[in-house]
Amino acid sequence: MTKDEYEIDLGFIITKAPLESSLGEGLLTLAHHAINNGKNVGFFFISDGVWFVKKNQKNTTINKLKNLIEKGATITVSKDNLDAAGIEKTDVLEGITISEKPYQDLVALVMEKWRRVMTI
Amino acid sequence: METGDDDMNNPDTEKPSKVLTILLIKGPYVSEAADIAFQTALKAKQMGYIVNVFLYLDGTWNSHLTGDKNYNNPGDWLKRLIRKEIQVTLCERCSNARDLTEENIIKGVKIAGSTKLIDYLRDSDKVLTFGG
Repeated sequence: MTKDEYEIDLGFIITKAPLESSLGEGLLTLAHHAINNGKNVGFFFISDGVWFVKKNQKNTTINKLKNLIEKGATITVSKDNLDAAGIEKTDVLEGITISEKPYQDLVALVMEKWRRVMTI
Repeated sequence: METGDDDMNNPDTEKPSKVLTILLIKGPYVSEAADIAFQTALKAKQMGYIVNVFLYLDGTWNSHLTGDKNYNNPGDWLKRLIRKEIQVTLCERCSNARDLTEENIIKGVKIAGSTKLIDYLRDSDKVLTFGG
């Protein structure tokens, strides 16, 4: 396996809400450091993790996520879980891909696009 | 919504057989970890990957859901994994600690020592841990 097989150096699967634990914000910070060190990063938000992508939150994670998007991180969110949470498409931060087949897209990212994966 | 089972009759067999191991460390009905782990396993199998599932620590409790329920049942997902010939392994020491035996878990789930997990980690292209 060579590094060139994968488009993204680090992928993160987030299943927890922003304020459910400090791990999510920790991974956002880790992703910032990775980008600053020349790495490509990707995120997949599923289950309660979809709350990260909602606009107009009054917490410290939202600006970190916006900043990651501006720096080129590829962000995907599960439509099934957005629907379950009642989060409308218009409530999702710009620059985020909404996956209508979340498990298919998740597996494809993990197996073919992401070189390394972390989950919370 | 993806079903993970009904649409599994058309596997994409042209994909290379990379290996995915899923490590589940959380039990049922405390979070969606088990549901996510099992649905990811089914989808990966459908997409042509070799998939192993290792139930570790409280994740072993999922194998104890042998009965039918009229609500979401991770045990049903586990049975689907077995039907799709996904290898599901239970940590032996974790099982002993919880009095889980081959007599009171879902048929087809294997109990093995943690060296099996090491084999999976060594032989997999990717490992996903859910429930952390």
